[in-house]
Amino acid sequence: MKIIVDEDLCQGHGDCVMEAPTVFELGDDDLVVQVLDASPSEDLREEVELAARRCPVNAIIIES
Amino acid sequence: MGESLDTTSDFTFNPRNPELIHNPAALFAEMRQNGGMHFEKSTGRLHVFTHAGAVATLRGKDGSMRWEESQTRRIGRDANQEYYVQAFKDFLDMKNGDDHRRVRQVISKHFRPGRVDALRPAIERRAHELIDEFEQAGTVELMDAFAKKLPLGTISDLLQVSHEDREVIAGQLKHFKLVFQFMPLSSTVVDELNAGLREVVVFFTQLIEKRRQNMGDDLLSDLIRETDAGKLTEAELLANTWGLFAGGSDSTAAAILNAVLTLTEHPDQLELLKDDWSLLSNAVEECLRYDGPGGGALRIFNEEMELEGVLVPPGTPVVAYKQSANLDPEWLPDAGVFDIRRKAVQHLSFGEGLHKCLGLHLARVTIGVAVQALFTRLGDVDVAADGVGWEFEAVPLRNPDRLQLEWEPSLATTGAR
Repeated sequence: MKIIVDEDLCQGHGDCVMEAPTVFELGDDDLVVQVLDASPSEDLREEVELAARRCPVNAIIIES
Repeated sequence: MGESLDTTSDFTFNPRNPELIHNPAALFAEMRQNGGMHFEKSTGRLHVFTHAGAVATLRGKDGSMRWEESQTRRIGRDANQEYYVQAFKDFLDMKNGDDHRRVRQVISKHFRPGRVDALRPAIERRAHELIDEFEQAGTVELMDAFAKKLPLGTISDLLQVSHEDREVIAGQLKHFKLVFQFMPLSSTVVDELNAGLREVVVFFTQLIEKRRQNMGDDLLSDLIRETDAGKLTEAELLANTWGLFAGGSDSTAAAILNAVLTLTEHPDQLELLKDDWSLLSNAVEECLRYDGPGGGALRIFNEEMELEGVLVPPGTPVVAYKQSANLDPEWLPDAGVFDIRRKAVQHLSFGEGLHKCLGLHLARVTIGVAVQALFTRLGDVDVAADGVGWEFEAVPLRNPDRLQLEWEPSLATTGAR
Protein backbone atom coordinates (compact mmCIF):
# COMPACT_ATOMS: atom_id res chain seq x y z
CA MET A 1 0.00 0.00 0.00
CA LYS A 2 1.35 3.40 -0.99
CA ILE A 3 -0.14 6.68 0.19
CA ILE A 4 -0.06 9.96 -1.70
CA VAL A 5 -1.53 13.23 -0.45
CA ASP A 6 -2.43 15.66 -3.23
CA GLU A 7 -0.98 18.85 -1.77
CA ASP A 8 -2.93 21.03 -4.20
CA LEU A 9 -6.15 19.68 -2.75
CA CYS A 10 -5.21 19.27 0.93
CA GLN A 11 -6.29 22.19 3.10
CA GLY A 12 -5.16 20.77 6.41
CA HIS A 13 -8.59 19.85 7.76
CA GLY A 14 -6.93 17.02 9.68
CA ASP A 15 -9.72 14.44 9.56
CA CYS A 16 -7.20 11.83 8.39
CA VAL A 17 -5.06 12.44 11.48
CA MET A 18 -7.98 11.43 13.69
CA GLU A 19 -8.48 8.18 11.76
CA ALA A 20 -4.86 7.14 11.26
CA PRO A 21 -2.62 9.07 13.66
CA THR A 22 0.40 6.86 13.02
CA VAL A 23 0.25 7.57 9.29
CA PHE A 24 -0.75 11.25 9.06
CA GLU A 25 0.34 14.26 11.07
CA LEU A 26 -0.69 17.90 11.06
CA GLY A 27 1.60 20.17 13.06
CA ASP A 28 0.37 23.56 14.25
CA ASP A 29 2.28 25.33 11.51
CA ASP A 30 1.82 22.81 8.69
CA LEU A 31 -0.26 24.06 5.77
CA VAL A 32 -0.91 20.54 4.50
CA VAL A 33 -0.94 17.12 6.12
CA GLN A 34 2.39 15.33 6.51
CA VAL A 35 2.60 11.63 5.67
CA LEU A 36 4.62 9.94 8.42
CA ASP A 37 4.55 6.53 6.80
CA ALA A 38 3.97 6.49 3.04
CA SER A 39 4.06 2.67 2.84
CA PRO A 40 2.27 1.47 5.98
CA SER A 41 1.79 -2.18 6.77
CA GLU A 42 -1.35 -4.01 5.68
CA ASP A 43 -2.79 -4.07 9.24
CA LEU A 44 -3.31 -0.32 8.87
CA ARG A 45 -5.28 -0.66 5.63
CA GLU A 46 -8.69 -0.26 7.27
CA GLU A 47 -7.63 2.89 9.13
CA VAL A 48 -5.99 4.40 6.07
CA GLU A 49 -8.98 3.67 3.83
CA LEU A 50 -11.26 5.28 6.38
CA ALA A 51 -8.93 8.29 6.54
CA ALA A 52 -9.08 8.60 2.75
CA ARG A 53 -12.89 8.33 2.74
CA ARG A 54 -13.19 10.91 5.51
CA CYS A 55 -10.99 13.49 3.74
CA PRO A 56 -13.41 16.35 3.00
CA VAL A 57 -11.60 17.25 -0.21
CA ASN A 58 -10.64 13.74 -1.47
CA ALA A 59 -6.92 14.56 -1.26
CA ILE A 60 -5.69 11.11 -0.16
CA ILE A 61 -4.84 8.53 -2.81
CA ILE A 62 -4.08 4.92 -1.93
CA GLU A 63 -2.17 2.95 -4.55
CA SER A 64 -2.57 -0.85 -4.59
CA MET B 1 -25.91 8.65 -18.16
CA GLY B 2 -28.10 9.99 -15.38
CA GLU B 3 -31.70 11.03 -15.64
CA SER B 4 -32.93 14.59 -16.04
CA LEU B 5 -34.13 16.70 -13.11
CA ASP B 6 -37.77 16.44 -14.16
CA THR B 7 -37.78 12.74 -13.32
CA THR B 8 -37.02 13.42 -9.64
CA SER B 9 -39.90 13.25 -7.20
CA ASP B 10 -42.38 16.10 -7.42
CA PHE B 11 -43.05 15.73 -3.73
CA THR B 12 -43.45 19.18 -2.24
CA PHE B 13 -41.00 20.40 0.34
CA ASN B 14 -41.49 23.63 2.25
CA PRO B 15 -38.17 24.75 3.81
CA ARG B 16 -40.17 26.95 6.22
CA ASN B 17 -42.33 24.10 7.52
CA PRO B 18 -42.44 24.46 11.35
CA GLU B 19 -42.22 20.65 11.52
CA LEU B 20 -38.52 21.22 10.76
CA ILE B 21 -38.39 22.50 14.34
CA HIS B 22 -40.92 20.24 16.04
CA ASN B 23 -40.25 16.89 14.38
CA PRO B 24 -37.55 17.14 11.72
CA ALA B 25 -36.69 13.42 11.84
CA ALA B 26 -40.15 12.35 10.59
CA LEU B 27 -40.23 14.97 7.85
CA PHE B 28 -36.71 14.14 6.66
CA ALA B 29 -37.48 10.40 6.71
CA GLU B 30 -40.46 11.09 4.46
CA MET B 31 -38.31 13.11 2.05
CA ARG B 32 -35.61 10.42 1.94
CA GLN B 33 -38.21 7.72 1.29
CA ASN B 34 -39.60 9.74 -1.61
CA GLY B 35 -36.48 9.57 -3.71
CA GLY B 36 -34.14 11.55 -1.50
CA MET B 37 -34.06 14.48 -3.92
CA HIS B 38 -36.73 16.96 -4.80
CA PHE B 39 -36.62 19.50 -7.61
CA GLU B 40 -38.76 22.50 -6.77
CA LYS B 41 -39.97 23.81 -10.12
CA SER B 42 -41.20 27.17 -8.78
CA THR B 43 -37.79 28.22 -7.44
CA GLY B 44 -35.55 26.03 -9.59
CA ARG B 45 -33.89 24.59 -6.47
CA LEU B 46 -32.87 20.98 -5.99
CA HIS B 47 -33.23 19.75 -2.39
CA VAL B 48 -31.01 16.83 -1.35
CA PHE B 49 -31.81 14.73 1.71
CA THR B 50 -29.60 11.61 1.60
CA HIS B 51 -26.16 11.30 3.20
CA ALA B 52 -24.52 10.21 -0.06
CA GLY B 53 -26.20 13.02 -1.99
CA ALA B 54 -25.28 15.64 0.61
CA VAL B 55 -21.64 14.53 0.71
CA ALA B 56 -21.44 14.58 -3.10
CA THR B 57 -22.99 18.06 -3.16
CA LEU B 58 -20.69 19.52 -0.53
CA ARG B 59 -17.58 17.89 -1.97
CA GLY B 60 -18.42 18.80 -5.57
CA LYS B 61 -15.28 20.33 -7.06
CA ASP B 62 -16.61 23.49 -8.66
CA GLY B 63 -19.45 24.09 -6.23
CA SER B 64 -19.76 27.48 -4.54
CA MET B 65 -22.36 29.71 -2.90
CA ARG B 66 -22.11 32.26 -5.75
CA TRP B 67 -22.45 34.93 -3.13
CA GLU B 68 -23.74 38.02 -4.97
CA GLU B 69 -25.97 36.02 -7.34
CA SER B 70 -27.55 34.05 -4.48
CA GLN B 71 -28.23 37.20 -2.46
CA THR B 72 -29.88 38.86 -5.44
CA ARG B 73 -32.16 35.83 -5.66
CA ARG B 74 -32.96 36.04 -1.94
CA ILE B 75 -33.78 39.71 -1.68
CA GLY B 76 -35.39 40.05 -5.10
CA ARG B 77 -33.29 43.00 -6.30
CA ASP B 78 -29.68 43.72 -7.25
CA ALA B 79 -27.76 42.70 -4.13
CA ASN B 80 -24.47 44.31 -5.12
CA GLN B 81 -25.63 47.62 -3.70
CA GLU B 82 -26.37 46.15 -0.29
CA TYR B 83 -23.89 46.93 2.47
CA TYR B 84 -23.97 43.40 3.90
CA VAL B 85 -23.25 41.82 0.51
CA GLN B 86 -20.14 43.97 0.06
CA ALA B 87 -19.05 43.48 3.68
CA PHE B 88 -19.36 39.69 3.52
CA LYS B 89 -17.70 39.09 0.19
CA ASP B 90 -14.21 38.97 1.69
CA PHE B 91 -15.25 36.53 4.41
CA LEU B 92 -13.76 33.05 4.09
CA ASP B 93 -17.00 31.20 3.38
CA MET B 94 -17.81 33.43 0.41
CA LYS B 95 -14.36 33.01 -1.15
CA ASN B 96 -13.57 30.44 -3.80
CA GLY B 97 -10.61 28.78 -5.47
CA ASP B 98 -7.08 30.03 -4.76
CA ASP B 99 -8.34 33.05 -2.77
CA HIS B 100 -10.25 30.75 -0.45
CA ARG B 101 -7.24 28.49 0.02
CA ARG B 102 -4.90 31.40 0.74
CA VAL B 103 -7.19 32.97 3.36
CA ARG B 104 -8.03 29.62 4.93
CA GLN B 105 -4.37 28.68 5.33
CA VAL B 106 -3.63 31.91 7.17
CA ILE B 107 -6.47 31.42 9.63
CA SER B 108 -6.72 27.65 10.04
CA LYS B 109 -3.39 27.09 11.74
CA HIS B 110 -4.73 29.01 14.74
CA PHE B 111 -7.48 26.42 15.17
CA ARG B 112 -5.44 23.21 14.94
CA PRO B 113 -5.93 20.65 17.72
CA GLY B 114 -2.64 21.59 19.43
CA ARG B 115 -3.54 25.29 19.67
CA VAL B 116 -7.08 24.47 20.74
CA ASP B 117 -5.89 22.14 23.54
CA ALA B 118 -3.92 25.05 24.96
CA LEU B 119 -7.19 27.01 25.27
CA ARG B 120 -8.98 24.27 27.21
CA PRO B 121 -8.02 25.36 30.77
CA ALA B 122 -9.36 28.87 30.14
CA ILE B 123 -12.59 27.46 28.67
CA GLU B 124 -13.05 25.20 31.71
CA ARG B 125 -12.39 28.08 34.09
CA ARG B 126 -14.92 30.29 32.31
CA ALA B 127 -17.56 27.52 32.28
CA HIS B 128 -17.26 27.06 36.05
CA GLU B 129 -17.30 30.81 36.73
CA LEU B 130 -20.51 31.13 34.73
CA ILE B 131 -22.11 28.23 36.62
CA ASP B 132 -21.02 29.83 39.96
CA GLU B 133 -23.40 32.67 39.11
CA PHE B 134 -26.53 30.54 38.92
CA GLU B 135 -26.01 27.17 40.55
CA GLN B 136 -27.76 28.15 43.81
CA ALA B 137 -30.75 29.61 41.95
CA GLY B 138 -32.11 26.19 40.98
CA THR B 139 -33.14 27.50 37.57
CA VAL B 140 -31.47 29.24 34.63
CA GLU B 141 -32.12 30.26 31.07
CA LEU B 142 -29.07 28.55 29.64
CA MET B 143 -28.69 30.43 26.35
CA ASP B 144 -28.16 33.90 27.80
CA ALA B 145 -26.50 32.91 31.07
CA PHE B 146 -24.10 30.30 29.72
CA ALA B 147 -24.22 28.99 26.14
CA LYS B 148 -23.68 32.36 24.45
CA LYS B 149 -21.12 33.59 26.97
CA LEU B 150 -18.81 30.56 26.90
CA PRO B 151 -17.76 30.56 23.22
CA LEU B 152 -18.04 34.35 23.01
CA GLY B 153 -15.51 34.61 25.84
CA THR B 154 -13.01 32.40 24.02
CA ILE B 155 -13.15 34.17 20.67
CA SER B 156 -13.23 37.59 22.35
CA ASP B 157 -10.07 36.77 24.27
CA LEU B 158 -8.40 35.51 21.08
CA LEU B 159 -9.31 38.72 19.25
CA GLN B 160 -8.87 41.01 22.28
CA VAL B 161 -12.45 42.27 22.27
CA SER B 162 -13.09 43.80 25.72
CA HIS B 163 -15.71 42.58 28.20
CA GLU B 164 -17.72 45.80 27.78
CA ASP B 165 -17.85 45.46 24.02
CA ARG B 166 -18.29 41.74 23.31
CA GLU B 167 -22.01 41.32 23.97
CA VAL B 168 -22.93 44.58 22.24
CA ILE B 169 -21.03 43.55 19.10
CA ALA B 170 -22.44 40.02 19.22
CA GLY B 171 -25.94 41.56 19.33
CA GLN B 172 -25.22 43.57 16.21
CA LEU B 173 -24.26 40.31 14.48
CA LYS B 174 -27.45 38.51 15.48
CA HIS B 175 -28.47 37.88 11.85
CA PHE B 176 -25.07 36.39 10.96
CA LYS B 177 -26.44 32.84 10.68
CA LEU B 178 -29.23 33.91 8.32
CA VAL B 179 -26.66 35.11 5.80
CA PHE B 180 -25.53 31.53 5.16
CA GLN B 181 -29.03 30.28 4.47
CA PHE B 182 -30.82 30.39 1.13
CA MET B 183 -34.39 31.44 1.96
CA PRO B 184 -35.71 34.91 1.04
CA LEU B 185 -34.70 37.70 3.43
CA SER B 186 -37.31 40.27 4.46
CA SER B 187 -36.47 43.94 4.00
CA THR B 188 -36.60 44.35 7.80
CA VAL B 189 -33.90 41.71 8.22
CA VAL B 190 -31.81 43.21 5.40
CA ASP B 191 -32.07 46.68 7.00
CA GLU B 192 -31.08 45.32 10.42
CA LEU B 193 -28.27 43.30 8.90
CA ASN B 194 -26.89 46.36 7.10
CA ALA B 195 -27.21 48.64 10.13
CA GLY B 196 -25.62 46.11 12.51
CA LEU B 197 -22.73 45.41 10.17
CA ARG B 198 -21.97 49.12 9.74
CA GLU B 199 -21.42 49.34 13.50
CA VAL B 200 -19.44 46.11 13.55
CA VAL B 201 -17.15 47.29 10.75
CA VAL B 202 -16.44 50.61 12.53
CA PHE B 203 -15.68 48.73 15.75
CA PHE B 204 -13.32 46.20 14.18
CA THR B 205 -11.59 48.81 11.99
CA GLN B 206 -10.69 50.66 15.20
CA LEU B 207 -9.75 47.45 17.01
CA ILE B 208 -7.34 46.52 14.20
CA GLU B 209 -5.87 50.04 14.18
CA LYS B 210 -5.28 49.95 17.94
CA ARG B 211 -3.75 46.51 17.71
CA ARG B 212 -1.40 47.63 14.96
CA GLN B 213 0.08 50.17 17.38
CA ASN B 214 0.52 47.54 20.05
CA MET B 215 1.18 44.11 18.55
CA GLY B 216 1.30 40.97 20.69
CA ASP B 217 1.34 37.22 20.13
CA ASP B 218 -2.45 36.94 19.85
CA LEU B 219 -4.58 35.81 16.91
CA LEU B 220 -5.42 39.34 15.75
CA SER B 221 -1.77 40.48 15.81
CA ASP B 222 -0.85 37.43 13.75
CA LEU B 223 -3.56 38.17 11.17
CA ILE B 224 -2.27 41.76 10.98
CA ARG B 225 1.30 40.50 10.46
CA GLU B 226 0.08 38.18 7.68
CA THR B 227 -1.71 41.16 6.09
CA ASP B 228 1.40 43.32 6.27
CA ALA B 229 3.32 40.43 4.67
CA GLY B 230 0.87 40.44 1.76
CA LYS B 231 -0.98 37.19 2.59
CA LEU B 232 -4.32 38.92 3.23
CA THR B 233 -5.76 42.13 1.84
CA GLU B 234 -6.94 44.79 4.31
CA ALA B 235 -10.53 43.99 3.35
CA GLU B 236 -9.94 40.28 4.04
CA LEU B 237 -8.34 41.05 7.41
CA LEU B 238 -11.36 43.10 8.44
CA ALA B 239 -14.07 40.72 7.17
CA ASN B 240 -12.43 37.66 8.66
CA THR B 241 -11.79 39.30 12.01
CA TRP B 242 -15.48 40.07 12.61
CA GLY B 243 -16.39 36.87 10.74
CA LEU B 244 -14.36 34.75 13.17
CA PHE B 245 -15.89 36.65 16.08
CA ALA B 246 -19.42 35.84 14.90
CA GLY B 247 -18.71 32.38 13.49
CA GLY B 248 -16.89 31.34 16.65
CA SER B 249 -19.75 32.06 18.99
CA ASP B 250 -23.21 31.80 17.47
CA SER B 251 -23.27 28.24 16.16
CA THR B 252 -21.43 26.83 19.18
CA ALA B 253 -24.01 28.39 21.51
CA ALA B 254 -26.82 26.65 19.61
CA ALA B 255 -24.89 23.36 19.61
CA ILE B 256 -24.45 23.54 23.42
CA LEU B 257 -28.21 23.94 23.85
CA ASN B 258 -28.93 21.11 21.44
CA ALA B 259 -26.47 18.82 23.27
CA VAL B 260 -27.90 19.59 26.72
CA LEU B 261 -31.44 19.13 25.43
CA THR B 262 -30.67 15.83 23.68
CA LEU B 263 -28.94 14.41 26.76
CA THR B 264 -31.79 15.41 29.11
CA GLU B 265 -34.23 13.75 26.69
CA HIS B 266 -32.18 10.50 26.88
CA PRO B 267 -31.65 9.95 30.62
CA ASP B 268 -30.14 6.46 30.14
CA GLN B 269 -27.45 7.91 27.87
CA LEU B 270 -26.84 10.79 30.28
CA GLU B 271 -26.35 8.29 33.13
CA LEU B 272 -23.83 6.36 31.03
CA LEU B 273 -21.92 9.55 30.43
CA LYS B 274 -22.00 10.67 34.06
CA ASP B 275 -20.66 7.25 35.08
CA ASP B 276 -17.85 7.37 32.55
CA TRP B 277 -16.64 10.75 31.34
CA SER B 278 -14.18 9.06 28.99
CA LEU B 279 -17.24 8.81 26.70
CA LEU B 280 -17.40 12.61 26.49
CA SER B 281 -15.83 13.19 23.07
CA ASN B 282 -17.95 10.36 21.60
CA ALA B 283 -21.02 11.89 23.22
CA VAL B 284 -20.29 15.31 21.74
CA GLU B 285 -20.00 13.82 18.24
CA GLU B 286 -23.21 11.86 18.71
CA CYS B 287 -25.07 14.96 19.94
CA LEU B 288 -23.84 16.85 16.87
CA ARG B 289 -24.93 14.02 14.59
CA TYR B 290 -28.26 13.23 16.17
CA ASP B 291 -29.43 16.79 16.65
CA GLY B 292 -26.96 19.26 15.20
CA PRO B 293 -28.10 22.72 14.15
CA GLY B 294 -28.45 21.23 10.65
CA GLY B 295 -29.88 23.61 8.12
CA GLY B 296 -29.51 23.51 4.38
CA ALA B 297 -26.18 24.25 2.70
CA LEU B 298 -26.37 25.84 -0.76
CA ARG B 299 -24.03 24.99 -3.63
CA ILE B 300 -24.18 26.04 -7.28
CA PHE B 301 -22.05 24.24 -9.88
CA ASN B 302 -20.45 25.73 -12.98
CA GLU B 303 -20.58 22.47 -14.88
CA GLU B 304 -23.22 19.82 -15.25
CA MET B 305 -22.84 17.21 -12.54
CA GLU B 306 -24.36 13.84 -11.81
CA LEU B 307 -25.85 13.56 -8.35
CA GLU B 308 -27.27 10.21 -7.23
CA GLY B 309 -27.97 9.27 -10.85
CA VAL B 310 -29.60 12.58 -11.77
CA LEU B 311 -28.05 15.12 -14.14
CA VAL B 312 -27.97 18.56 -12.53
CA PRO B 313 -27.68 21.39 -15.06
CA PRO B 314 -25.01 24.05 -14.41
CA GLY B 315 -26.30 26.97 -12.34
CA THR B 316 -28.92 24.94 -10.45
CA PRO B 317 -29.05 25.91 -6.76
CA VAL B 318 -28.59 22.65 -4.84
CA VAL B 319 -29.47 22.57 -1.13
CA ALA B 320 -28.02 19.76 0.98
CA TYR B 321 -29.85 19.11 4.26
CA LYS B 322 -27.17 18.16 6.75
CA GLN B 323 -29.47 17.03 9.53
CA SER B 324 -31.38 14.75 7.16
CA ALA B 325 -28.07 13.26 5.98
CA ASN B 326 -27.04 12.63 9.60
CA LEU B 327 -30.21 10.58 10.14
CA ASP B 328 -30.06 8.58 6.89
CA PRO B 329 -30.39 4.82 7.62
CA GLU B 330 -28.98 3.98 4.18
CA TRP B 331 -25.69 5.37 5.49
CA LEU B 332 -25.99 4.43 9.18
CA PRO B 333 -28.51 1.61 9.75
CA ASP B 334 -29.49 2.65 13.29
CA ALA B 335 -29.22 6.37 12.59
CA GLY B 336 -32.47 7.02 14.49
CA VAL B 337 -30.89 5.77 17.74
CA PHE B 338 -29.02 8.17 20.02
CA ASP B 339 -26.04 6.17 21.30
CA ILE B 340 -23.07 7.93 22.86
CA ARG B 341 -21.01 4.71 22.71
CA ARG B 342 -21.13 4.78 18.93
CA LYS B 343 -17.70 5.14 17.35
CA ALA B 344 -17.62 8.60 15.79
CA VAL B 345 -19.14 8.59 12.31
CA GLN B 346 -18.89 11.04 9.44
CA HIS B 347 -21.75 13.36 10.34
CA LEU B 348 -22.18 16.56 8.36
CA SER B 349 -22.92 19.02 11.15
CA PHE B 350 -19.61 20.80 10.52
CA GLY B 351 -20.26 20.73 6.79
CA GLU B 352 -18.07 18.88 4.31
CA GLY B 353 -15.73 19.70 1.47
CA LEU B 354 -13.63 22.83 1.02
CA HIS B 355 -15.75 24.92 3.37
CA LYS B 356 -15.93 22.42 6.22
CA CYS B 357 -15.94 24.29 9.54
CA LEU B 358 -12.52 25.67 10.36
CA GLY B 359 -13.27 25.96 14.07
CA LEU B 360 -14.52 22.43 14.60
CA HIS B 361 -11.85 21.39 17.10
CA LEU B 362 -12.59 24.45 19.21
CA ALA B 363 -16.32 23.83 18.94
CA ARG B 364 -15.90 20.20 20.04
CA VAL B 365 -13.81 21.17 23.07
CA THR B 366 -16.21 23.96 24.04
CA ILE B 367 -19.32 21.76 23.78
CA GLY B 368 -17.58 19.00 25.76
CA VAL B 369 -16.45 21.36 28.52
CA ALA B 370 -19.96 22.84 28.70
CA VAL B 371 -21.69 19.45 28.97
CA GLN B 372 -19.31 18.09 31.59
CA ALA B 373 -19.33 21.23 33.74
CA LEU B 374 -23.13 21.57 33.69
CA PHE B 375 -24.00 17.96 34.44
CA THR B 376 -21.33 17.50 37.13
CA ARG B 377 -22.18 20.75 38.90
CA LEU B 378 -25.98 20.86 38.79
CA GLY B 379 -26.94 17.29 39.71
CA ASP B 380 -30.20 16.09 38.14
CA VAL B 381 -31.28 18.68 35.60
CA ASP B 382 -34.78 18.96 34.14
CA VAL B 383 -36.06 21.09 31.32
CA ALA B 384 -38.76 23.45 32.66
CA ALA B 385 -42.31 23.12 31.34
CA ASP B 386 -42.44 25.06 28.07
CA GLY B 387 -38.74 25.72 28.61
CA VAL B 388 -37.48 25.41 25.01
CA GLY B 389 -37.66 28.26 22.51
CA TRP B 390 -36.75 28.09 18.83
CA GLU B 391 -35.65 30.69 16.35
CA PHE B 392 -38.35 30.35 13.71
CA GLU B 393 -36.78 32.99 11.50
CA ALA B 394 -33.75 30.74 10.98
CA VAL B 395 -35.69 27.67 9.73
CA PRO B 396 -34.57 25.35 8.08
CA LEU B 397 -31.71 25.94 10.51
CA ARG B 398 -32.88 24.30 13.73
CA ASN B 399 -31.62 26.78 16.27
CA PRO B 400 -32.83 26.74 19.87
CA ASP B 401 -32.68 30.22 21.37
CA ARG B 402 -33.98 29.52 24.87
CA LEU B 403 -33.58 26.61 27.29
CA GLN B 404 -34.88 26.94 30.83
CA LEU B 405 -33.35 24.35 33.15
CA GLU B 406 -34.32 23.42 36.71
CA TRP B 407 -32.51 21.47 39.44
CA GLU B 408 -32.44 21.09 43.21
CA PRO B 409 -29.89 23.68 44.45
CA SER B 410 -29.01 21.68 47.57
CA LEU B 411 -27.75 18.89 45.28
CA ALA B 412 -25.57 21.20 43.22
CA THR B 413 -21.92 20.55 43.94
CA THR B 414 -20.21 23.85 44.59
CA GLY B 415 -16.50 23.69 44.11
CA ALA B 416 -16.50 20.23 42.53
CA ARG B 417 -13.86 21.24 40.05
